[in-house]
Amino acid sequence: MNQELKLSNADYRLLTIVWDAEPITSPDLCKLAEAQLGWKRTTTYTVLKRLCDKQLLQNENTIVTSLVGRQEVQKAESREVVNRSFDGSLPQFVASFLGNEQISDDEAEQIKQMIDGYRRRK
Amino acid sequence: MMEDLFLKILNMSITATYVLLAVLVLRLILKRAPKWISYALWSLVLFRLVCPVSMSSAFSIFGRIGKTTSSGGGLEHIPENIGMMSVPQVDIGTAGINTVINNALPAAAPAASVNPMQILVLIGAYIWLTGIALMLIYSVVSYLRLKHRMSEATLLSGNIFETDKITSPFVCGFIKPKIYLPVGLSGNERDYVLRHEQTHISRRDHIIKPLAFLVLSVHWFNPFMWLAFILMSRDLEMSCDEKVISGLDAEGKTGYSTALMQLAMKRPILAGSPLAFGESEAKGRIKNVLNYIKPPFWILIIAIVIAAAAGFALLTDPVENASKIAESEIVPLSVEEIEQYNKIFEPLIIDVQGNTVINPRSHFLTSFYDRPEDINLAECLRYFPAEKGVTDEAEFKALKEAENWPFGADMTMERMPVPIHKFSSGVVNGALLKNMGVALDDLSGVGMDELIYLKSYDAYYNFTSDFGAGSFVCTSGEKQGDIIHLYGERATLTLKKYGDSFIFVSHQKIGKQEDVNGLNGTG
Repeated sequence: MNQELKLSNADYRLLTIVWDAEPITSPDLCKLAEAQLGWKRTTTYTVLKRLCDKQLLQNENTIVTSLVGRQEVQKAESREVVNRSFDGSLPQFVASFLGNEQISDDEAEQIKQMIDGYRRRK
Repeated sequence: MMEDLFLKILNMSITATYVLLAVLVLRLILKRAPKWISYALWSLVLFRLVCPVSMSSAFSIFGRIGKTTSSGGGLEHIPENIGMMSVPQVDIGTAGINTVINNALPAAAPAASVNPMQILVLIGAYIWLTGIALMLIYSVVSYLRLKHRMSEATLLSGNIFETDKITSPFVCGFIKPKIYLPVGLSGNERDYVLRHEQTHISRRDHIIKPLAFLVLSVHWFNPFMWLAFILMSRDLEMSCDEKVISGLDAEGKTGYSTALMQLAMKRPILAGSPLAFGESEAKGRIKNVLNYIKPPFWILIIAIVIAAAAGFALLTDPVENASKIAESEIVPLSVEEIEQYNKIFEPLIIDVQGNTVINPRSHFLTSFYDRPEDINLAECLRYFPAEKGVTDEAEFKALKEAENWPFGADMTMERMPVPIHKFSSGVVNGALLKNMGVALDDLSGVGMDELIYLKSYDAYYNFTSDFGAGSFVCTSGEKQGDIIHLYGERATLTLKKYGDSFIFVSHQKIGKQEDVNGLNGTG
């Protein structure tokens, strides 16, 4: 998967629906997108086409499946955020969250466990 | 007519500019009062921009500054017959401004078929319409583009959508308005922003602002109205803010202004689209929010009274009707006035070069008519100054072929017993419009059979060697409103005031109807 992913909010939301429901027929996908995103059918097809061109989804005989997993995309997205906004510095990235008190104690505990787990694996 | 409409709009625009200036002063006075009062004041400007007439009151501010209403109703700064005035005059601002403008306006050119001022007005009307078209195209295109951009926005709940293509929130749509939010607003921020946008919708701001823009599109030529639109938008936002925070505590006020500030740090991308509206003017708004204290009741009352009184003075037209009602009673003309009219209708006058010429008004006294359309054109043109004779053989041949050619088929140009006079349609039309307020096409056709009309030369022809101007002498007269009746020994002449002059309405014979055509004999 390429480094420069550049997914729009719309792209990501449609991907999420596919990940949750694949394999799914494109008419069904339209229905889900209408219910969850308030999209017109044409909008869904436009975004679907774009994602197929980026080789993130494929649409064969009206059956839509994903070509990349959720975690892969999330990894690439977060790497991009860290690179773009925090000079590639992960501590700075985390610090910005902690500084704004935007994480709960619960979330902080989860993060701590994740980091501890990562250390143990090494 | 397009020109009439244009002049009407110009007059409305000028009236609205006066109201705007008053509103600017009132806004200063009411600076500390709730912003909804300032916002409401803009409806006065709006009213003047869309409604040509208003009820009249003695308290009208326009009466105080010496304005009068036109006969058609509505304030008239630029006379609607300016194209026809011999010396076009407007009354726009102070005496100084008026003098400058009036000196720049071209005077009428009686010899030409159209006055330069008419052409100016027509060109103005075309430019005006083009401007409206451009404004409307621009707003529709930008609205459609925005709609398209928002097609991929994702539903949050109800009518609230989220998209990463914008940095500041806005409301879009008329019947089912949707709220679009930028992605990634924190819970608090989103809550405040939503309150604000929902207040906009409940106040119908999402309809009022595009309507205001539509009115601006019609008055696009008036820079003051652009200022009005900008200031109105500001008052609209601030009064919306005040409504939101009136339901919030101190902490909420701080939170709300923080949300405003954070949105302001991102540049609004939607400033260009008038049909949807984003948020702007953050600094003034944050100050307004933080300074907002619920005003004491008595301040509110005073502010409302000031605004209402000002509104009444600005909304109503002057009661020039007090004198108008008096005028609509019949008032006899004074001896001096009768003398004046008799001078006006003398058959011969001395022109600016000092030559004795036929009175241009005399042509409308050579026949009798009950209404302008029934004037006898042959009599009217009988002694009308001809532009030139006929020297062209082809033209002469065409004349001979005309149905009512009176001199026989073997007549030649050299042997003509009387001169041929030629009058181009344009000149005739111009004279009719100027003196009677009707066009050639409006005439009912009396006397047409006595004239030769050649289509290929678009001109009328008659043949005469004698001379006798029409005249009218009155012994008494009366006026009623803008109608003037003049009574002579043989006929009654009715005139109507028209700009700085008058037009002929009717010329009726007194007594039995003998020899309706030709008061002075035919030549």
